Amino acid sequence: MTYEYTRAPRMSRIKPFAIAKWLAVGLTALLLIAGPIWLVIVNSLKPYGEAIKLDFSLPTEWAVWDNYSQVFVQGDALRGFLNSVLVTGIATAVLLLLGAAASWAFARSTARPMQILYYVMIAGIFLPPTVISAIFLLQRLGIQGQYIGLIAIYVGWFMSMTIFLMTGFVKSVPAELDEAASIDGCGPIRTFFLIILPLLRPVLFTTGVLLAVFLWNDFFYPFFLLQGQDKQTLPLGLFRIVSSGSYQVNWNLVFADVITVSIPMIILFLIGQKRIIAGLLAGSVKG
Amino acid sequence: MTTTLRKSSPRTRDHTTRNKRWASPRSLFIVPALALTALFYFVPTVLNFGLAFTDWNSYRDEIRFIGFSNFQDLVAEGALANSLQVTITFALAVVIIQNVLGLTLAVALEKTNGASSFFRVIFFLPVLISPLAAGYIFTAILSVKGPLNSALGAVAGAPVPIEWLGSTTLTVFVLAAITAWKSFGLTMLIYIAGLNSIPEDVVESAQIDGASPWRAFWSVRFPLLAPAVTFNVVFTLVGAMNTFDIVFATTRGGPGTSTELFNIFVQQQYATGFFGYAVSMTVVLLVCVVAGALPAIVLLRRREVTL
Repeated sequence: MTYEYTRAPRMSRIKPFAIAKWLAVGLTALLLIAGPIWLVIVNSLKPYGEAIKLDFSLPTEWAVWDNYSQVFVQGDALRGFLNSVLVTGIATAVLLLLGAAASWAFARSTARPMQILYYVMIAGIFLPPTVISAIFLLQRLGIQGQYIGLIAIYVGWFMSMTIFLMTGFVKSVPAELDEAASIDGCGPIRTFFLIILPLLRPVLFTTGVLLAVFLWNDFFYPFFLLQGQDKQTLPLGLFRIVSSGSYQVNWNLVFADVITVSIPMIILFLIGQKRIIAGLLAGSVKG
Repeated sequence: MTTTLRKSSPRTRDHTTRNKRWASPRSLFIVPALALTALFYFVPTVLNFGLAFTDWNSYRDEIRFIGFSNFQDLVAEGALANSLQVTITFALAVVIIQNVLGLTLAVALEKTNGASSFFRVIFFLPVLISPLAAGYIFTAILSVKGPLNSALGAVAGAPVPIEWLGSTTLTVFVLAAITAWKSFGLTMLIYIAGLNSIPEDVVESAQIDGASPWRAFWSVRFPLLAPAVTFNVVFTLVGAMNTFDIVFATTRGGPGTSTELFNIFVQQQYATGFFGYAVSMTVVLLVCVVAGALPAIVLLRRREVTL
């Protein structure tokens, strides 16, 4: 009771500040996020002539089917979707599996050579992968222009990030579990797959989502490393749609394609939103 | 469960000594990751330092060593000075905009409750969008007759014809703002994590000592936030220096060469068939990233305070 009495006047002093804060946050969200998203959605539903005005009004004439069917037929978005799933899916799966294995070995070893190798691997986080030399290498290996080449470059580039994000978490898994498994007669392979990997689910999930979002949306590497329209990923398809507008940009089609490219990752995020944000908050850098 | 296991300290000690053994079969688990990283990441990185000294191009099959010729051309044509200046201006602007916005929102949304959880998700949405798509969205918003100028015109009462993407001075900062927009949601989350990891009693004792909320933040909490600042600043810096997609979607380096980042120059040279020349600029970028990231890490680490 006394607590409430003493607290009441403080609350009233704080309140105007809280109201101003939430107004500012709301306004920021409106201007930075809601405005652009509304513009994209509403103009993707309009016919060409209305969309070039680029305003926020609702369509007077709806062209939903026209726009989205063009994105899928002329823009070949279904194939783009499947190609993106292939590249993103394989690269993410390989990164998570091999990254988890390496993180486990790094986390459990205090031997000097392993420490040095760990820092060598982590150094990759800061260096940009270099696309022209990658093309040179992939040409020599005979896989330039193919999915496998792109996936290989992605795996090489993101391995350091994957290991960096996972090793800390693996260290929090008690090493006694490995010990117990080996006493029970498990070799390292069985210990990893039966004991360690299942315990890493939270970090696998968060890291996997981050990797998938980045790889799905990337344009730079597919632009250089994939050849032929049949191999194009969704961002390459978006680029083709924009470039095909000969005189004026067809904003209705561009926006319909922007939504087509973005929706899968937004759905994935919204489904796992609580776990992803909790994972990012728990796992990120604290020192 | 962990506590009961950890009680058996003799076994734990025994365990660590065993771990010091380098030749544990478990160490082999790094081999696949290491092999792929070596071949598809370290090899291309090292190759740069060879190919940059050749005339590798699309017009001849043979690749010849030509010494420092490519670098001399980069300097003589002014491309090096220009890309260097543009990239550094752009990267610093991205770091500042993204971290100020991210940190401000993190402070506003640090307490986990219904409203702040909602806004965290909202501000995270641009992270999920393709940077190419972000570039196109802002090409629309910032076009001369686009929604931003219309809105400004409505406020001003007269038409506003600002060339957001057509100015040799302003546009590089506009592109930096678009790049910051795309990623500030992630920066914000990392700052929230950092703020939440600061023990509350530290702040409370500062308040008891009479520190104003403003003072308590800058003198007590901000220094303790240093690890998150280091991470965010370095990653934003490196990411910004490697930018390609957003600029390619909006200005492609123009007007003139006023937004020609390193990677835009590299792409243009590659597209015209001068591969070796393109690689020489990549080498400059690599050197700049290392030269920029290392001092940033050292400088920011020095400011860190541990409890």
